[in-house]
This record gives sequence, structure tokens and C-alpha cells, in this order.
Amino acid sequence: MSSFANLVVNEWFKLTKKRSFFVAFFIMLLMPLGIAFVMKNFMTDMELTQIGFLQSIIDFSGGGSVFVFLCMIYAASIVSGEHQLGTIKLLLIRAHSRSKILASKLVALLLFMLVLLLYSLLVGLLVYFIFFGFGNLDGSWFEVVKASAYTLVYTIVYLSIIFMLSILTKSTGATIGITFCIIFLEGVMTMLLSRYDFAKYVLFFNTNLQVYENGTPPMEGMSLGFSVAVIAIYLIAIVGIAFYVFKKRDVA
Amino acid sequence: MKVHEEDVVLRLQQVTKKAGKQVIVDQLSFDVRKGEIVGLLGPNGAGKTTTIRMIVGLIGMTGGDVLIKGHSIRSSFAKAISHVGAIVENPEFYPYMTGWDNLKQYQRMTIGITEERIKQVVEIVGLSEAMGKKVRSYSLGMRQRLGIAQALLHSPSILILDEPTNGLDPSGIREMRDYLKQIAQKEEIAILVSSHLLSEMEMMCSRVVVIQQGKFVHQQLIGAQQQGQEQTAANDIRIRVRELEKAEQVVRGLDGVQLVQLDTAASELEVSCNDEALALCVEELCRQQIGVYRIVEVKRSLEDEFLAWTGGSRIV
Repeated sequence: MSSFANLVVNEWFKLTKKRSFFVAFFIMLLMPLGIAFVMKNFMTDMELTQIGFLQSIIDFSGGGSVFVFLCMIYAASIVSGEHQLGTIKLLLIRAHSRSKILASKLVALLLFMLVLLLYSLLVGLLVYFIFFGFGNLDGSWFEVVKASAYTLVYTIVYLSIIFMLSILTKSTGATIGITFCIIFLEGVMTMLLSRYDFAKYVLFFNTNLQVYENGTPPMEGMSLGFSVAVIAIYLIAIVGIAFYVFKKRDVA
Repeated sequence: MKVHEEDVVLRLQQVTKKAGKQVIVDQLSFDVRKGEIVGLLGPNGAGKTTTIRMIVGLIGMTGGDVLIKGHSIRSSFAKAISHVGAIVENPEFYPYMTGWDNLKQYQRMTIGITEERIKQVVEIVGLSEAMGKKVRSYSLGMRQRLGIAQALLHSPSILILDEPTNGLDPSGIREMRDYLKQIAQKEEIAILVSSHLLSEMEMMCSRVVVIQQGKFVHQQLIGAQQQGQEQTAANDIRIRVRELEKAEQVVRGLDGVQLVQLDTAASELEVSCNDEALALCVEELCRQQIGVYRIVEVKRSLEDEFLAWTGGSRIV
């Protein structure tokens, strides 16, 4: 186990020792500042609780989409970066199986996602206090937890897709390109396919768990449990393909 | 030369790689023993790099097996690879990390490497001064040395280097050669080097294995071992004399000495004979007062032999 922990430490350093590492944290500081600034100066009539503020930062259909994008960009290079640098050769000739090395990368990535999420919430809270004081404590913290969970589910789905693409294409640029295409097509596809019944088995119809909040499912026969199950099956398949390809690949 | 089974560090058994219908490496077998520096030679596209990548498990093999200290790279990868230190083509590192941080990466991947060991290895390759600098700022020569350092970290039994002198300038090549020889002694390990630079191999290796189109062609001992083996064999000798015609008559009259060619312009004759016959020949030339200016052994360079083995296929 400790040898696996060491591998994760290695991957963590590969992420954090890059100068670009702090860009994500910088952006996640700028965003709440911007939102707070606009709220304070132009939308003075709106009552803003800190819960509402944090939700707007982390909700993936709002400010949280920035969070999702940032995670995706960091994920895109985690395997392909090693190919592009050529370091993959020195990485794979150690006494560790390829699956273990790949798993350590996945764990480091999820760790990064969690750290960035916690950081964003903390920074959001601080920014709120600075702009609006400690006055408005209305609302349930559970709402923030739920918004975070929805965003995490959405992020994890995309991270696993990117993770797989990064392995398949061995190119960071191609990975990001294809992912953006998928994101773009996601909206179009949802629109075109929504009249067919099988659409409910398509991954992208299920990634937004928020829709179950107000009680009416997007399609007949869909429920929170159904969507979670569909997501789980897709995730297993996607990560499975990623591991299989990485294990079998000839590194030339 | 006596062969002790237990000295065999690396053994290739009928290693084969096919890509579609094309056979890249064809039933290649050879051994590398402790303390040896073995050169893997071959023209471009002979399958050197593919072979090395199969040895370290970077690419899978279609048939055969590679045993490292008796462990199969196919069925017990982790055990086998733990005895191997390698650089495959140019050593690539994380440019945004320092040399030290890069080595720490590889330290964390193997249990039991102390910081002292890192310092010791860095000392061997002479990089102590540069450890705090980002690898981005390293020259190619420095990266090569860092590459050797990472390969030595876990005290491997065999060092495998793919084209280690690629892209180095002459002084860098020489430095590399000295390091390798020194390491082979200090760390008592076997070294397998692939290259197409023949003169390089000649100076560095104790044995070369020549492959062509993925097939084993020839193997040859080099240097001291070679001489010891061939004391009774015939050598080519060039003799420069004052009177060529008389010398020619003398040589033709001697048993065991064969005239290979006559060079009137340089007033030299080339003979082929063993050591004893040469002594007689020189004695006879002196007695007849022909005037011997110089006697030189004609060494066929590895390049000539290589071209003979591979049928003159282009090297570069």
C-alpha cells in the first residue's frame, strides 16, 4: 500500500511542480471576486445569502462550469503529457505494474479535484465575508453539499472520458479538442435525441442529477437511482477501456 | 572462455516480434554475463531498439522470452525489471523539476533507495553541482548523465542503454564511454549497449552481438579477449623494406608465410602468418640484409568486419 501511496505522491508532484498549477487556484479566486463585485454594485436589490453565493460558485450550470473546465484541462495531460515528454519510458520500466501506475494517476487526479473544490468553497466563503459581512446566515449548508456533489458527479464523468482520451490519443491537444466537441455535441444531441425512448440510456442524459430536485424526471422511467446506475456502468466501461489499452500498449 | 550459468544476467530466448506480416525481430537469442559490456550492433532498422524495448517490457513480444536473473519479463515483470536499469533512446525528464526532484521521483518508485544512494550515484556521474537546477536548463550531455544516474539508483544487475551516445559531441561521447567503463567496474554490473557507431562500440565493449533484419548474424569478442584467443591464428602484417624485390623472394621461399600483396609505391609487402612464422621471416630478412624499416600489424577495423558480416549494408 505504501508503495502505491508513493506513486500517488509522485503524480501529485508532477501536477503541482508545474508553474501552471497555480493558474487554476488563481482563476477560482478571481471568479468569486467577480461575482461578488457584480452582485454588490449592480444587483443591490437582490438578497444574497452566503449559501446562495457558494451555490452560484460551485453549481456546474453556473460558476461551477469554470471548475469543471479547470479539472478537465489538468486531466487532459496526465497520461498524454508523459508520452509527449517521453518520460513514459522511464516511468514504465520500474517494478510496478502498468495498472498500478495508471491507478495512481487517476487517484492523483481525483485528489486534485477535491482539493480544488474545497479551496473554491473556502475562497468563496472568504470573499463573501469580505464583500457582504457576516450578516446573512440563512439557508441550509446541505444545499452547498448537494450542489458540490452534483458538480463532482458531472466532473468525474468528464474526467474519466478525458482520462480515456488522453490514453487513446497520447496527445493533450487532441484530448482537449475532442472533449470540447463532446461538450458542444452534448447539447445538440440532448435536443435531437430527446424524443426517442432509448435516449435515457445515453450517458449525457443522466449526468445532470440536479433535474431530480424539483420532482419531475426529464424522461419517463428515469429516476435518481436510474441515472446513478447508468453513470456507474458508463464509468466502469470507460475506465476499463482506459486500463486495458494502457496495459496492452506498445510504448514506442 | 568459461561460461558459468550463474553469471548470466540477461538471456534472450528466441525473442520474436511481428507487426502484421512483417517480422521485426526473428528468434533472437543471446546472453549477457556479469561484468561484460556487450554491444548490440546492427544497421538502421535491424531491430536494435525494438529488441531493447522488448527486454525492458515496453513493448510486448510475439514469441520467445527474456530472462533477467532467471525471472521472465513476461510472467514476472516486476521481479525481472527490478534488476534492470535502463535508458531507452534519449533520457527524458520532467523539465519543470530540478535534477534532484526528478531522481526523487524514481526513488519513491523503488523501496529501499536512501538519499545517500542518490548522492552517491550523482557523484559517480559528476552532477552534484547541477542537482538544484531545473532539468530544462540541462545540456544534452547532462541529461544523459542524469539518465545514467536514474538507471543506477536501484543498484541494478544490468544496465541497458539504447544509443547512449546519440546526439552527443565527441567530448561527450568520450565522457560517456569513460563513465560506462568506470560504472561497469565500480558497480560490478553487466551492460548492454545498442549503437550503430562502430568505432564507439570497439572502444567500449568486450563483446559485440551483430543483428541484421532482426536476425542474429555474428558475435565477436573485442580487445584483450580477442588477442588472447588468436595467438596461433594468422595475422596480417605489413613490412616496409629497402629492397622490395629481394624481400619478395625471401618471403616466397618461406613456409608458413603467405604473401598477400605487394605495394611497390610504398615499398611494402603484406604477409599473412602466425607469430612463430613471422619471427622466422624477420630473421631471414635481416640475414639477407634487406633492410627492414617497419613491421606493422594490419588490424581489420570492426567496421570492415561489420560490413563483411552484414553484407555491406549501409550503417548510418
